[in-house]
Amino acid sequence: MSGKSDLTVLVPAYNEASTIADTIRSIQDQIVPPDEIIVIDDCSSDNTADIARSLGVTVMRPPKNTGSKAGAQNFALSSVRTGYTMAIDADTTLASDAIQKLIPALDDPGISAACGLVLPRYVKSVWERGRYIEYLFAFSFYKPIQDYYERPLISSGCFSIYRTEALRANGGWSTRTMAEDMDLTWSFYKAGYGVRFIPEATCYPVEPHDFGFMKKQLRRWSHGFVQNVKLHWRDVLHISFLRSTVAIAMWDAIFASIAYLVLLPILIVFVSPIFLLAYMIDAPAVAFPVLVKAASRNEIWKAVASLPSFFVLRTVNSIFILEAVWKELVLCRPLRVYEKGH
Amino acid sequence: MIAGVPGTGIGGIYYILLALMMPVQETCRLCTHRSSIERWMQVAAQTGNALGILITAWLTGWLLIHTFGALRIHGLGTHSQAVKTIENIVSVSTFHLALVVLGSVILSVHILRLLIPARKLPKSTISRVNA
Repeated sequence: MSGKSDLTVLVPAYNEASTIADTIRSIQDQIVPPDEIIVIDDCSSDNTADIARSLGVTVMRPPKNTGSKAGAQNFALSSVRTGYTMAIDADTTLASDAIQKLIPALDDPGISAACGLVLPRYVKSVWERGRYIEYLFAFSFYKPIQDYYERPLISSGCFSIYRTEALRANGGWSTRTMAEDMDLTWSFYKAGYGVRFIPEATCYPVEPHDFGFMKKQLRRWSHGFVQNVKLHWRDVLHISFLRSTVAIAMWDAIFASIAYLVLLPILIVFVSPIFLLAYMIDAPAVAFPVLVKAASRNEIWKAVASLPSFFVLRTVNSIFILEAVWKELVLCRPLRVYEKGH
Repeated sequence: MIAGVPGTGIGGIYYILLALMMPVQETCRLCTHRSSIERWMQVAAQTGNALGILITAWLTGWLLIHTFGALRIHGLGTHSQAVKTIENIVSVSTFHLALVVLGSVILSVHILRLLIPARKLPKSTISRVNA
C-alpha cells in the first residue's frame, strides 16, 4: 500500500477548459484524498492542460488524440502505481465523501469495480430535467436491485474505482465498443470478479443541455449497448442474473420502442385518441420511487417540475435505441467514431 | 449510462418482481447467517418501492377506467363498451401480456444457456480469480 488511499485518479480530458477546474478541486477536497491525480490532456486545442497544471496535478499528453475516453485512460494506466485506479469524467464533480464511501467496497478481493450514484449537476433545460428523473429512477430502483443480486449492469464510466490489477489484466479499457464502461463491467463478470454499486457515493456530471449534445450522447450509449450485447452475448448467457437483465433490456429496447413509435401512433389515429394516454400511463408508477428519493434529498419540487421532461427524453431515447439496433444488428454498420456528448 | 428505455415494457415488471423476491432471498440468507441489518434496510427500501409502484399503478388503472369510461370516449361505443375496452387496455397491456412475455424471455434465455456451452477462460484468468 502506498500513501493515503492507495488510489490514483485518471481524468481524461479533451477541450474541457470550462469544467476541469471544478472537477480537480472536487477531487482535491475529498475527505480521503487520492495519492495522485493525473489529467490526460487528449491533445486539446484549448487551455485544459494549463488549468490542470496550475492546480498542481500531473498532466500527461499522448502524441496524438487517442479518439476516445478509453484511449486516453489507457495512455495513463501504465503510470499508475497504486492498488486502486479511479476514472472520472472531466466534467464531473464529486461529493466530498464520495471516495471515502466508495473505496471500502473494494476491500473484498473478489470485487474489481465500484460505482456510485450519478445525478446531473445542472437541472435547467428539458434534457437535463429528463435526465435527472431518469437517473433518480434508475439509481434508486433498478441499480440497488441489481446490486442486491450482485450484478450491477454497468459500473458507470463517469465515476468508478477499479482494482488496478484487474484493470490491467483486462488490458485496460477496451476501445472496441462505444460503451467502454459496460464492456469492462461485463468483462469483469466473465473473469469471475464482482462489481458493486454504492448509492452513498455521489457524483455530479454535466449532462447535455441541448438536443445537439443529447443526440450525440444517446447515439453513443445506444450503439454502445447493442455493440456490447453483440460482443458478449455468449458469455453473458452463463452469468447468472445478468443474462436476464440484458435480455429484458434488449427486448424492451426493440419492442417497447416499436410500440412507442409505431404501434401507438397507429392505434391513436385508427382506433381512438385514448391511446395517447399510453405514453404517460406509467407516470404515477415512475413518480413513486423518484419522489421518495427526491424527498430524501429535499428536492421534491425540482423532481415534480422535471417529471414531464422524462417522458420527452424517453420517447427520444426510444428513437435512438431503435436506430442503434437497426444499424448494428440489421445493417451491420457499427458506430465507430466516438463523439463527445458533453 | 442508462441502457434501453427505462420504465417501459417488461423491464419495469421484472424489477418489481425482483424487489418482491428480496425478502424471501434475505430470509434464506438469514437462515445461513449471511444476512445483516444493512441488507434488510436495502430489502425494505426496494420492497417498499415495488409495493408503492404497484399501488400507484393500480390506482391509475382504477381512475382511468372510471373517469374515461364515464365519458364515453369517441370510437369506443356505449358506456359499458367503453369501460370494458379501457379495462382491457389497462389490465391486459400492463400486466397479463407483460407477464407472459417476461416469462417467455427469461425461459428463452435459460434454454439458450443450456444449448450454448460456456467458453473456457484463459488459464491465467482462472488462477488469478481463484488466488
